[in-house]
Amino acid sequence: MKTGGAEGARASRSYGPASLDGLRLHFDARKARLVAFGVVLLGLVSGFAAEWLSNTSAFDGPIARTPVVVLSPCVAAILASLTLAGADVDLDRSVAVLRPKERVIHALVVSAMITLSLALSALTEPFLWGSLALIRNSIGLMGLVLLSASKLPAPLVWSPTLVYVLSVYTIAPSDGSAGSKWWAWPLQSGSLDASWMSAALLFAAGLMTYGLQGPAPRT
Amino acid sequence: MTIHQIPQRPRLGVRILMIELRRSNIVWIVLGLTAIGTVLLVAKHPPFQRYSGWTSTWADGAGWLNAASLVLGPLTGATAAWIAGRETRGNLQELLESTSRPTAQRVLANWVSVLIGVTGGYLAYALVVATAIIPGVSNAGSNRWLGDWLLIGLGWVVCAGLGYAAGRLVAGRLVAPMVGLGLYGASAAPAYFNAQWVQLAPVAHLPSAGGRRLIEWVVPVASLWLLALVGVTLLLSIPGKRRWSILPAIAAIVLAVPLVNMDTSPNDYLGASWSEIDPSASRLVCTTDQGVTVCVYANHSELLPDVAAVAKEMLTGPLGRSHFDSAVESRYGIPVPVNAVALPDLAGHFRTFRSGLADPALIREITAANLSLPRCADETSINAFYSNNAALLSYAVAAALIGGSSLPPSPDPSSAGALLDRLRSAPSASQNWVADYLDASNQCDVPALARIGQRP
Repeated sequence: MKTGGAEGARASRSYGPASLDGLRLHFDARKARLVAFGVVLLGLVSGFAAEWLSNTSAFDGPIARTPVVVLSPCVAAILASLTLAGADVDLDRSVAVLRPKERVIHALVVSAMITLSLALSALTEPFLWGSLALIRNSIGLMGLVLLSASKLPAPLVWSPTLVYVLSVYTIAPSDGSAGSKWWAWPLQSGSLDASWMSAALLFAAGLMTYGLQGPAPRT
Repeated sequence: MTIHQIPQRPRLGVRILMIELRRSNIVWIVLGLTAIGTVLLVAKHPPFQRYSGWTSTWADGAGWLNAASLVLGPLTGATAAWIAGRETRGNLQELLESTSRPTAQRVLANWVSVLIGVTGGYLAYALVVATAIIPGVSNAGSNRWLGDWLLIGLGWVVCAGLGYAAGRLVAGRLVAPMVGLGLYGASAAPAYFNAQWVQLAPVAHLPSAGGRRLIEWVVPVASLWLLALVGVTLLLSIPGKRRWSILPAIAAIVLAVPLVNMDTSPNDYLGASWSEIDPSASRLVCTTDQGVTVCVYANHSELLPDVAAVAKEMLTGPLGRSHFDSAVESRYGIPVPVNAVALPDLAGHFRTFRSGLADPALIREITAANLSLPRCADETSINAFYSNNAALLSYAVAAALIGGSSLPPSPDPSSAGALLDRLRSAPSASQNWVADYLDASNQCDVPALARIGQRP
């Protein structure tokens, strides 16, 4: 039976990612609105926490913002990992849409969103565990999440980021000694040094791997 | 006819548990926790840090386990939440509810597998830490460190219980990481508030350190408190039994009251209220050789031969006998005898996985700095010394000569370096210079110290 009228027009409409409807469906299937709300809320909470830590006399001023600088991007990257795979990755992988270009754009949009939201939360003295460190950490940890998303099943994407962040935050030096600018980059102050190189390399690797391979299959 | 014996199959409960252990990847969890813990231990040493800061005593081992639990406790909780979410991830709840197997039995088997994983991970990691300690450990101090190790293990189980309950009660991919981050925050945040309730954090809350021990009654009460928390989380995880969690919750509150309301001695930080000085670890152990007596605290006695060699060389070495014939380890809050050279506190100077001093040159350097420091009794003389650049220059050169190492910071490094080079090139002049310096230093004669620094 031939479908006619408005229903027919809707049925024949393209739902590829190029169309707005396609984009909406794509983001809806990945809980993008929930993630966007969460990231904005996180930005507000981070801003409040950064101000409190900076202005409480018992602490060391802006330097005391380290927990915000390390943990907020970690939470944001884990939140963003929800958008990197649909409810059924195997179904996603069986469909001939979402090519590398679209995946890269998706990853860039999500990364830009969390970076912007967090960067605004610690604008005072940006070089001292402030906005710059938040930007670097958002980029680097997003890279780690992208890398994990292409290698691990969706329910476990959070694990490398959580293990790495908690470990370096607990034991690594934050003064750049013993090569920590390279291996414990999220803890460093934010000045333009090797820590940026580590974060940028991680982001590039994550973006490339996720773009080329997409989310890992469930098994 | 041969009768073949049919092998007896294990009981149903054991078979179910074995299946649970496989389904929950418990072996990988044990290996993962041990591996992450070992990486943390390795990363706490050079080349990943400037100094190792390792101390081979059982109490300090508890201190390290306690510190590492700040990472491993939350990860245990996140892992338990992930395992508990298995049914919801597979949308299996309705299907499983339709089977004839009771829910409580199903949950309990799963929970026990998590408990085995966490306990196995903790024991394996505790074994790694013990292996790092054993070669350099002194059998001094009370055995109350066992209580610390027990409480840390129970803290891991509490984290796992909290994670498991969250994983059963809430569905979603974010539950496991948020449990991990939440537990990390709950354990780390109290450090920002110097309050009594700091010690009620699930992990990383113990004041474990060398020379201290937990107060005797704290171990059983805190153990019961942690077990009550485990009971709450277990009952919250079982549908139909949740209302019973009120009983262990009441017990936990009752047990927490004495643990929070403990007095702290005036010299201690608030978080240390569960602990006291360990007298048997705090007595001095000495050795005398060639008229030089060297003393260290009993829980560091394993380092005595190495330290004695360094101290003896400095007190009777090529630069001549100093004014001291004994050296005693320093410890915070305990003064060193007036006639003795202060050795550094040896906590943090042990080698990991081996016996002996991590860096004898560092001990030599610190001891030389202590030995060269003028013996001034009053505040005015001390201020006069620190405000006299020439005296400070002499001090730096003396410390470098006695310690045989590089020049410590001084107001005029180029002049100090030139004087040091001149003295090193003439051993007999150097010996006389050091003897004169130590005479002036021992009498706190600041003008004389300044003149010695100007001497050609």
